[in-house]
Amino acid sequence: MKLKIYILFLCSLFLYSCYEDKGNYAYASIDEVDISFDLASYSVPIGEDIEIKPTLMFKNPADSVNFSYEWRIGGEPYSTERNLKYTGEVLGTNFVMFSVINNRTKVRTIQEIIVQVSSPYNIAFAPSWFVLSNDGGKSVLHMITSKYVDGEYQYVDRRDIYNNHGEELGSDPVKLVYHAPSGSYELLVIQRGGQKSVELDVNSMSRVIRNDEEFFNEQPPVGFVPKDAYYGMYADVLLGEDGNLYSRAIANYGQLHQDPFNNNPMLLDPTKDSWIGQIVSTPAFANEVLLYDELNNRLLCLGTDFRSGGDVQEMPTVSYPAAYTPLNDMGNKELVHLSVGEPMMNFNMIVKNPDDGKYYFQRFMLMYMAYNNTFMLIVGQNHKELKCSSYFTSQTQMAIFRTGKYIFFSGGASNNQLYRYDTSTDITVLVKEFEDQSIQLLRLPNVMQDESTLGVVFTNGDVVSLNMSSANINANIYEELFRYNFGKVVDVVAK
Amino acid sequence: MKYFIYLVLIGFCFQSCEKQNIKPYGNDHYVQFTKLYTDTLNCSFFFYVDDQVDIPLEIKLIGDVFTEDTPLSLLVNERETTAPAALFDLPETFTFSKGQIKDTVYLRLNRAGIVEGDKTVYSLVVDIINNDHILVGEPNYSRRVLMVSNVVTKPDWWNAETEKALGKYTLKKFTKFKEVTQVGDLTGWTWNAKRIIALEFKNYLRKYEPEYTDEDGSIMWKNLPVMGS
Repeated sequence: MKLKIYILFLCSLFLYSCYEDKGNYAYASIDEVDISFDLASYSVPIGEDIEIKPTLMFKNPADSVNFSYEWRIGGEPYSTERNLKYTGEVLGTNFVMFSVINNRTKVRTIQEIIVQVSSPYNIAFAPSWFVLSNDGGKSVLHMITSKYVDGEYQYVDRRDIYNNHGEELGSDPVKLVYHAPSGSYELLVIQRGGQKSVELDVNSMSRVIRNDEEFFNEQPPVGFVPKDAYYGMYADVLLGEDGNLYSRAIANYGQLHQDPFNNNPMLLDPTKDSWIGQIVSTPAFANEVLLYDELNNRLLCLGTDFRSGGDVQEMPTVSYPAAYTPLNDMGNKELVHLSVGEPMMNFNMIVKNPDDGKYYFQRFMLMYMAYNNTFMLIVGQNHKELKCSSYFTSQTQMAIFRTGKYIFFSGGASNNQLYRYDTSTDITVLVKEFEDQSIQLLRLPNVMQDESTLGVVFTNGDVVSLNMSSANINANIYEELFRYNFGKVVDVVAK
Repeated sequence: MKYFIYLVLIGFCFQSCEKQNIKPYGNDHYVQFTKLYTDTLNCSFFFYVDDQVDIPLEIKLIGDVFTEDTPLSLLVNERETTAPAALFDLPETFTFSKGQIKDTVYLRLNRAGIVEGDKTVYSLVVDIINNDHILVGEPNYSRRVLMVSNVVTKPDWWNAETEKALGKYTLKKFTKFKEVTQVGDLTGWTWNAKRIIALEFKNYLRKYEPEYTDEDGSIMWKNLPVMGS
């Protein structure tokens, strides 16, 4: 009897498998759309407009009429247009959400971007240039800024931008040094007259401090005139026209102008006199600084770390390849060009051998090891004769792309020809011959940006940026991104 | 029975209701030094150029701030003091400034009070005493002891922080330091300022006297820990 009951129970279980599936599997197709933007982040100067146009790819283009749009900024609804027209009213970073809404199914496809509202002098992500001019002896500061519009940067010139309650910037301008330690953007204007050299806040273009005030006991060295500067994480160094270096250790990174410069010059070499003619400023996060000792025709190295305001040392002793000009003693070779290279800690240099009149290009890597206060030097194998040197004149200006692949230089009887030399193929190309214009300066973009532009300053005051992307170089296309005239230009620096 | 117990307990409760006259800490003013009496101040004329030196002694107020400058009384403890009278000047009155909780009194020391060549270290003990306006604060902070001499001792400012720049103190090093930098007192100097002057000293030795040795025969500039050029 019990067995019958068990069997009957088991059979009843099987009845569940005969359950009819009444589910509906007739899915309706969902219209799909892909959203993309040219940039992940956009910038707009405060008080100005920007239009952002998303690219929409509908799976079924005919369905595009079935969609509506929504822009939210900071979580709040802002617009229902397809394109965003936004006016930057408040400084800051805005998180922007763009939704494409299927009107039929209410399904949203969302993409987010950032729109940064900033000072017109400190527009994030947009290439800019500072220009220092001499107007009858007076220093005048200008800027060329850009804004991303319809897939390209549009440039605008901003004139006489120094902003300090109507006071004059100064006189007898010399040079600009742009630096951005710990995210605070400043510009050192080196000038000999007026209030002399000053640090400007790039957001407001107002004075932060006079250079002379930054020395110990506010007593700069007698007759001190800065010539160049290096700003690092752990130390800042000023190069004076007297060939001396003055340093300060930074006790707390991020706290600007809290530590004084030593008004005693750095001891460069206790065994002999030195005279520094050039410092090669590396990116702020790098701890190696290259010095050119003109008196002894050699390179010295300066390492900075959190414990000291910089330690100057002789170049490490290494074995050099044949014909490579030794860095610690260049003999009778003339240093023609010295600049920062890529990747980081690399440097490019050009020397001239007076014995044969030839020019040579060489690279090396210099790394500072703070843990034991020593340097490591690795000299490159690509020491080579420059086949383009026949175009060089006494007025030739140079700029070397940091990878070392291209050397741009000026030439011609009037210094009105711009050339490009490929160090890997030894091919020299005339980029452009300018009518009635002599080239005064060549400048590279900021070290934090890619090298796709070249700044050219002409003696007539024109400042030009050339598109030197790989595509333009390969196709030998000459393209000016902007051209503005600023009168007597003294210096130009990329932001 | 239980009602009786309740009554007894209630009665005990009234025993705790005692009034105590606790005086408010209000009207009296107490003044004391900010440092302990055991914190001896070493003062050697070796470190000073001038013949009269004013030694600052910081004091603090306990109580409401004064609404006007108030006289404070200090007295030389003659029993504990060995310094001759000519060695110091103690004003008859001192003043605690109004509106402040801290102030500084100055004790003048006279180089003329020590005969040249005298290597004695004299004690000068100063006490705060009560007057009509101010009472003495905590006993441990009511006295300062100064040891005054003409001998060379390690200056108070040559502390652990200074050693990071100048290394261990030696008389020879300190003498050379003063000669090179023309500075003998780094009291109150910031770390950066100490670093700058230490570098000046070190760079001088490296360039002009690289073989100059310390008392133990070691090369002096090599034992200066300050880093940098």
